[in-house]
Amino acid sequence: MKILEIDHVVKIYGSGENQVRALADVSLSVEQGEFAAIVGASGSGKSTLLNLIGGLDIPTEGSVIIRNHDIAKLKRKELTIFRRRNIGFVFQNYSLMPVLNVYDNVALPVTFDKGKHIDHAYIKDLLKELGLWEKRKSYPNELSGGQQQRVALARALANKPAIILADEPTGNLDSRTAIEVIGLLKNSSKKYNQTILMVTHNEAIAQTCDRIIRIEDGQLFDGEREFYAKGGAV
Amino acid sequence: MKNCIRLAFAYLKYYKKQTLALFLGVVLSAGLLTGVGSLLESGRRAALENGRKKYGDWHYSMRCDYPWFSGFEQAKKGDGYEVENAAVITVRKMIEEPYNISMLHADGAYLQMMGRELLEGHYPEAEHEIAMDVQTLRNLDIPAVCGSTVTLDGEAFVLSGIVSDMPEAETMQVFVSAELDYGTNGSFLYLKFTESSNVYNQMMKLANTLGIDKSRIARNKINQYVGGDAPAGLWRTVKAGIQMDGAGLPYIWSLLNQSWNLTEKSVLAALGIFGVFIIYSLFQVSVTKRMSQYSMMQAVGMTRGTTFGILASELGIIFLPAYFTGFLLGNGAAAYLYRKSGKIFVQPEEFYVHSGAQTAQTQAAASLPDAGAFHVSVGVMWGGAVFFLLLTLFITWMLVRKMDKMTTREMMSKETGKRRRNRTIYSKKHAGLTGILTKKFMFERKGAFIGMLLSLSVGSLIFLGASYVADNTKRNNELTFKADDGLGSDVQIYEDTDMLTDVVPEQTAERLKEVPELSMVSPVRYMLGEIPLIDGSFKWTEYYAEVVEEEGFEPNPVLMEKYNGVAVRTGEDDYKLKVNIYGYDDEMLTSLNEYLLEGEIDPEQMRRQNTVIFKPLMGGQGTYEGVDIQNGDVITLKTPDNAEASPEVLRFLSADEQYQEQNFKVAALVSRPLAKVETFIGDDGTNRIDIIMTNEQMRENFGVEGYHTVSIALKEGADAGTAADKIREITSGIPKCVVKDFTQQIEAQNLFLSQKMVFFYGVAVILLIISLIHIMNSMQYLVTARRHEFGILRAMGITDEGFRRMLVKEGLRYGIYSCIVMIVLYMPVQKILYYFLVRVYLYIHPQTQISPVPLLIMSAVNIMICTAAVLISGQSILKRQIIEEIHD
Repeated sequence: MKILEIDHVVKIYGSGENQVRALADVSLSVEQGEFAAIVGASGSGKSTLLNLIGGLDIPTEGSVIIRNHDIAKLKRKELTIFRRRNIGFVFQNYSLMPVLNVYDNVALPVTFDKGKHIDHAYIKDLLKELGLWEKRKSYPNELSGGQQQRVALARALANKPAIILADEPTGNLDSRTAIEVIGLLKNSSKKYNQTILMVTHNEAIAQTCDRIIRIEDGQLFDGEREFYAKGGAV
Repeated sequence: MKNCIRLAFAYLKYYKKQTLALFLGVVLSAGLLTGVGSLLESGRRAALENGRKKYGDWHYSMRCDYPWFSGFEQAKKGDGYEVENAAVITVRKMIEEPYNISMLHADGAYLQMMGRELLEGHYPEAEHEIAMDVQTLRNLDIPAVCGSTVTLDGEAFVLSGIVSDMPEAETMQVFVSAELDYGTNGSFLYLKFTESSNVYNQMMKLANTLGIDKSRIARNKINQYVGGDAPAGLWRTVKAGIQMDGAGLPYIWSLLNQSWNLTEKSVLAALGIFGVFIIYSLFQVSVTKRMSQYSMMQAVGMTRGTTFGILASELGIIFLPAYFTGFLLGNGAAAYLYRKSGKIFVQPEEFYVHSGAQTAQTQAAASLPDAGAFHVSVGVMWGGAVFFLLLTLFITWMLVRKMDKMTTREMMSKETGKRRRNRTIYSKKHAGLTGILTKKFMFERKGAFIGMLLSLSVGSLIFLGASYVADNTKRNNELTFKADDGLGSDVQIYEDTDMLTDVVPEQTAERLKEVPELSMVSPVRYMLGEIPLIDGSFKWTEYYAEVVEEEGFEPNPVLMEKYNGVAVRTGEDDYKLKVNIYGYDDEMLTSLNEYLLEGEIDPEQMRRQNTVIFKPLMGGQGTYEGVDIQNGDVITLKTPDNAEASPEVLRFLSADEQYQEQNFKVAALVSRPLAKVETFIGDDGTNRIDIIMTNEQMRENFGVEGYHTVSIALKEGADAGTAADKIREITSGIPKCVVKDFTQQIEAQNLFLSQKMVFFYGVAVILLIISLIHIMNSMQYLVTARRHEFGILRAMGITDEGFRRMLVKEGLRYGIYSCIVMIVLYMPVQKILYYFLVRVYLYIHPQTQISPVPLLIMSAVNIMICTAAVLISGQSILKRQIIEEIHD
């Protein structure tokens, strides 16, 4: 089942002489449960693509359809709620709230849904599975990079979203921790049948994914043999 | 240094909003400081010029018929002094009848010094020629025509010249020629020094040079404006203030204030400190924002000195044009204000009511000073600039020091790493975490939070303090004015006499009540009395020369002659004190409630129980402890046994049968009398004990039928001239009865007061605006500093409404907390202000309660501004892409 469909998306930043074409006529579809890596050089447009999918940015042309919703056509508030319920984010710089402890950071997205009961048992499971239960009362600056990224992952999973968008989640981590985090992502994808789109520079990590989407100068080279590799446990 | 300036300039260009906020902060602070400084300077100069006109353009005078005078001409300029002008007069004769007149021979310099000129004729040259002013001629009933014959002390003179009016002096002055000599001459030297340096020091140096007896040097009243008074020694004053019983801070302050004009300097210092605080606060917000960038540069090798250089350059680049702009704007506004209502900045002359010779119009004109031209205070301009610059450098040093205390990592992450963490999991207890986040954001750095609250509340605090002083100044002025002339009456009738028999008959007062233009006619009965104060119940004996018997502290000879003095000692600790006894009507008695110190004023009960109101003495510190008489005490009042007592009986030394003694219970204590009678033992409202009762009691107790004064208020819109004419018609034929129309004077005073209030509030509002800029800037910083966190929240799915709600909560919290801080700080501030108003500035009944209205208004303004500032800044966050914020 298709969960994401990107149709002839163009993204242009700036105007006149300063105009930059970040994405040029990009089309793509992703199945539910797929774990795809988006790879490309710096400035190739991979983060732009991820931001458009996450509704953090708006395409200049074309459409981004997630679960049959054209997110560009959603009103601001609808988009926010849609994103909250359907998309989980993992950023390279972890982007945790420094003033909240691990547990509250993870529970934070759920609390935005008024009337929605926080599933504490689920958060407990998540934290235990990610090896963070003992650290639940710690603050982000008391954790290592790997631990922080695991908290970010737990937060992304807290709302049980259909898609997780991870923007270079291992960019700040050493190789061992990076492998550990990718393993957790894969496990989560399998366990909850979640679609994961992950931007990475790391070819080795990309090779472990179900699919590799390559971007060069804003153009997509999807599924080309030389970059394709079947994912599996690392 | 070049690089520092270049980098500083780049920062200023990049952070435009911060630069603008800082620029505005400096402009307003400098404008306010230099503008107010110039207004005060202009007022002081105007007061000096008015003083010159009124008292003459000289600083000191002394007898000069001593040997030292022969060397004076050669000693006019010496080390540290320069005599700019000198004049000599010789008193040829003093005449007591029909008026006190001095016959003087004066040199040309004297007339010029006193601002007098020859209007007609010539200065007396022959032995029996004389010159005088028109006012004196009128008083002597001589036509103001040269050649007229003037007879003085039985001697005939020819009027050779008419001179312009004289400045204020104790006696009338007439001029005669050098030829006229009665052999009893006294010569006086008048001196004016250059005013560019301290006049007092110059006089002392001249006195030392010539050997002039310093204790015999008289000073002009203008000396207070030119440093002509002996300065109070700081340590001696402080020591005396601490050691002397009952002296304390008011004593120290008032003495130092006289020497150094502390009130004015305090106002300027407060404005300067407030300005610096705002500049510091605005700048540190700007620097804190960029802390990580400085740390980055320090990490790549920038030295502490360079950091200081960059910060100082930034402040300098903003400060110089901003201070100059502020100076121009502030002085421009001040010049405009001074042109419109400059009188409010000039120290007014005392507000006399009963001074027989002048008309109401001339009095009104005299009581409101001439504002003169606007002067830019160069001293405040440079002083302010140096003060701001030095403190600006200090601020920079403090910020660099603050950076030094943090490690580079802490600066980069803007964390101090010193806080203790709360381990509570809030999501288990709370459905929403935005409230928790708001709190956490606020309390994350407690020092910064407290600093923020203090800076948020300081503007409101100053505004509240200023409005408290303004309110009480208004109240004090109104009450003083009312107490001075009795209910602030438009017209007053009074008997200009010291005879108890000269009164306004009762039927005249009744006829006055029928005049349609009048809304109130309040007649006042008067009697002179004496009360015994035994066993030490009279405490302030040292102020009465007649009982102190100290050399050089002589009692008033007139009061001694007519009334045997005000105080009489009858035993070791026993005294008798003369008192004024007033009878008021019910309306005036009710009005006395505004001056109530203790007890209750109920005219009906006073009549029924024959109780009285006691007005005690007021001391130099606004206290009323001169005599030990409290509410409920019984006083024994000795009065002449009939209302038509002869002057001799008023000495209270006649046979006992000439007097009666009655006991009265004190029903209330008040701070001021209304409608004073000053023609007997005098009464300035504070220096005499007054016993007040109803008019009916005056008749029953002492047989007083007629009235000594009648206070009259006109109906709104009634023509004062017509009313005064009707009153004059009714009162014509009553001996010594004077009708005074105060309407113009009241109007002028009211205008004066309202303009003064507008200025007070204007300054307070400017302070508030400055602090509002600061609040807006601080709040904006708070929001923008957390852009990254807000980006995360938005990415996690907080809606715009939810985000705004969160900001509103934060704004409200800041507003409420700053209000609490404001109220907590305001309470002691108000207590201190109250102390100064009562003890130092002798205000009548300032409000002791904290008025809730300004507090509520300021609280509402604080909350609204904090909330609005947070929301406006938050809106800019919402306009940005989430991803930009996350990567910030």
